[in-house]
Amino acid sequence: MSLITVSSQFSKMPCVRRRADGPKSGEEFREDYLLKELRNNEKVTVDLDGVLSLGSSFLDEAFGGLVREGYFTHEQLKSKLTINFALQSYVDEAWDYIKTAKRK
Amino acid sequence: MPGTNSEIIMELIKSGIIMELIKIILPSSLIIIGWIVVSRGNDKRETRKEIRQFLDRSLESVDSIREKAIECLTLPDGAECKKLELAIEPELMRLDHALNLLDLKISENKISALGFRTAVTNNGCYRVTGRQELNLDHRVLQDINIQAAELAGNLEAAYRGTYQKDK
Repeated sequence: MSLITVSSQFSKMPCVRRRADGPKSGEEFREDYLLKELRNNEKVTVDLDGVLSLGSSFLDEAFGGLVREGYFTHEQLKSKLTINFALQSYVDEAWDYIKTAKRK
Repeated sequence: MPGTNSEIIMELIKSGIIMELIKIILPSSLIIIGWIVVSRGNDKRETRKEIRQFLDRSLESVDSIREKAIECLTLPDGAECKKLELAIEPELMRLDHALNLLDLKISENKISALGFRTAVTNNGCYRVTGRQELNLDHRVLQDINIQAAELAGNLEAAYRGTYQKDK
């Protein structure tokens, strides 16, 4: 079981989608943090508490991108991934991106 | 010397003690009950007033984010644009926390800024490096306006539905 605390391990203000759009992007989080943990652990928890902002584009790329890029399926992520945040609407949004993402 | 209970009560009535007690207890009880009723009414009014003020601040925040987002997207990517982005994102999260605390619902669904947040931050233009300024009639700007108006409308409707049912 692995825990990624986004605010302390990654950024308090993760926002943009692509690396090209700026630092601390969804793509960077997915490729450099999330993917590594998901591959090496049975269960991974992403804790979003403590972040000061959270753009939808970041959530879409970080979580939806796992399916879009062909790393995992929605079903696999349901059993492997847990997302925690004080605001449930953000968690629902992230899962919605995972659910609706189409593999490239 | 009275022996049974009824005899004791009759003796007390005769001596006027019960009437004296009633004269003290009855007005006191009425005062206490009145105070409780007025106090509860005041508490409810105060709570409603505080929630209304909180809601008004949230509505102002929706409008402020909307204005900043439109200003940001109608500028080309650059320093001015970045300054606005840095202001928009924390304000969006503060708005979400405020809505979470307000806990207003429409048809049992808690109102959140999800639609508005998505319109602002996940439109394919916001925070995209090298982006050109958008035309004022661009669909992204219209969508931000629509989502802001819907959110404000839902919040007002939910507030009226929760706190002004009698009106």
